[in-house]
Amino acid sequence: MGGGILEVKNVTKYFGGLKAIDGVSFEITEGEIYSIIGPNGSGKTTLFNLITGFLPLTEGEIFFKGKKISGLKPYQIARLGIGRTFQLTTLFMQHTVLENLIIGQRQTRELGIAASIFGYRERRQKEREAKQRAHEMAEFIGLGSFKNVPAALLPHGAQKQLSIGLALAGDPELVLLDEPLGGVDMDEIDAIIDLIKKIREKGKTICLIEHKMRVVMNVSDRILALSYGKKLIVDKPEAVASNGEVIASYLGDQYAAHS
Amino acid sequence: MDEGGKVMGKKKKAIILCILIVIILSIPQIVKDEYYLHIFVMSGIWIISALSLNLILGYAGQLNLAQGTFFGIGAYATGLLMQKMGLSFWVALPLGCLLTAVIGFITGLPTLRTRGHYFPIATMCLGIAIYYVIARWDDVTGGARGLFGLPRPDPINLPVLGALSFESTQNCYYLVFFFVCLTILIIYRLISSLSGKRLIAIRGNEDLAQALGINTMRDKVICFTISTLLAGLAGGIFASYMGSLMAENAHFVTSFEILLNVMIGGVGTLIGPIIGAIFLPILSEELHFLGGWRLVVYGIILILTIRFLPFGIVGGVRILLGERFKKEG
Repeated sequence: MGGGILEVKNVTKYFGGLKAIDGVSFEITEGEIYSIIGPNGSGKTTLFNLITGFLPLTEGEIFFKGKKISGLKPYQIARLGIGRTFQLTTLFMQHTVLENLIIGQRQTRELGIAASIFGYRERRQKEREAKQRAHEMAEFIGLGSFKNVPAALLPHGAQKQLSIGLALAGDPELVLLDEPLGGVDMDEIDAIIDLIKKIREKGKTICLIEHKMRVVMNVSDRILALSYGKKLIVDKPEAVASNGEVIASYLGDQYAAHS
Repeated sequence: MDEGGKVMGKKKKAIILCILIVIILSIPQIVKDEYYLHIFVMSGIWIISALSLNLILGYAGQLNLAQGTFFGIGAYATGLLMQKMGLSFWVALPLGCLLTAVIGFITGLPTLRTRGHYFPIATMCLGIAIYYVIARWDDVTGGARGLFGLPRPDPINLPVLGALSFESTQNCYYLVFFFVCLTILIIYRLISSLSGKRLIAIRGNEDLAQALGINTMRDKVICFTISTLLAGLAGGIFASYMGSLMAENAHFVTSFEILLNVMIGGVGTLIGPIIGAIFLPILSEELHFLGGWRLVVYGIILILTIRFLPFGIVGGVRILLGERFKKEG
């Protein structure tokens, strides 16, 4: 515990002439829940896409456990141990909860195509392991009773839970959650918050993008506030909530008055 | 109880499969009409082609519009190896398949990097370009005149039955049946494994697949290479069975016919392309009196299928049986 698991150094990203991320640096400590907040368009999701290799950096470097990951392909970064969800709930919609979770397993990406066609023992062994772990993951994310339901037919909250399950399926050390509560009903929120806390209890590091401020203030160890691609502040929730710049650019006076 | 039900289902399936195989094997003993046997042999060749396209289209979700071209490459490669190099069919066929797969691999590397509509467009252009190479390269392929006098497979010596010659349509039927089974086996093994799940993941959402650590480019290229290899296999058998080849065999229309078999039978299912490849040649024979207008009928059937039965005949039967109908995302 305590070491920096992810290091973002002077990262800048241009989309054409638009500077979406402007020289941002920060470090996520192992085992913490690190939240990123900021108004729409402030670069939160772009930051996720830069970390996971879905977008190339314009400038700067990113390190994961001391190894430089900027420049690697998304699947390589995922294999090193970074799981992620997408802002728009992204699942294999026509497949069941269990099938989704099997696809996410390490064994699934490891089995070679030649071994699939000609192999016997390895093929069976890996399939059994993947299934076993998928069952466990379904229970862990609270979808034990929906295992054979196609993802498309799940309620929205359960879909979010499944997308988190997919991010966890490969057993990553760092999990990036992009608005896990976006569009989720009030009565479904608690299940997801509990899930996030459970993930941390398993020793995983979590980086969270979320707009629901009460949740962010409640679960986060530290918060990074972004505005127009620039870092405003990184601090403990109370300090961020009372920071003048954050209130002005994002939270608004009303939030400050309430808390 | 669930497990028990599964075992029962497996037994039932195995029995049905055995009965089917017996029926298929006994057809040449019952049907003595050369003409019908010929149609069955052609169906077998189209089944291999359709299954090969279905692997890359139905499972990995990449619409390859050059499958007929790879069929043609396999056909010409096998034919030329037999005719110009004097090789036996049994040597020429694997080499022909290998050559097709190598071309598939090399062309797959750049084209599979594209996403969305660009892959079909890229493969269509590739298909047309290769067609013109075959049609104009007079010294090697015979150009517009085509290739003639290709030999049938050399007889093979069986331990008990003696020499098996492939001069008769009947024996060619068994030969094609063997290769159809081999193709089904390879594809079934692949798609029923965890690797098959990866392909389905790529079709479902390539970004998500990558976020899960799946090397999507590698899987697509391997899948494409296997798919072209099998198309080459169908082409090689076709060359030896027909004894002659025309540049038209590698034309875009061939790609379209293979695609039609897959779409009408049921894309993304194992049985669909088989049904489509049996159904369409028969329909084609029945519609012979229409001449070129046949293609118009095909077009209408394809549009109606896509509109009302996106999973073809198999999808339609599933609806009738009330099975869970997997609708595309």
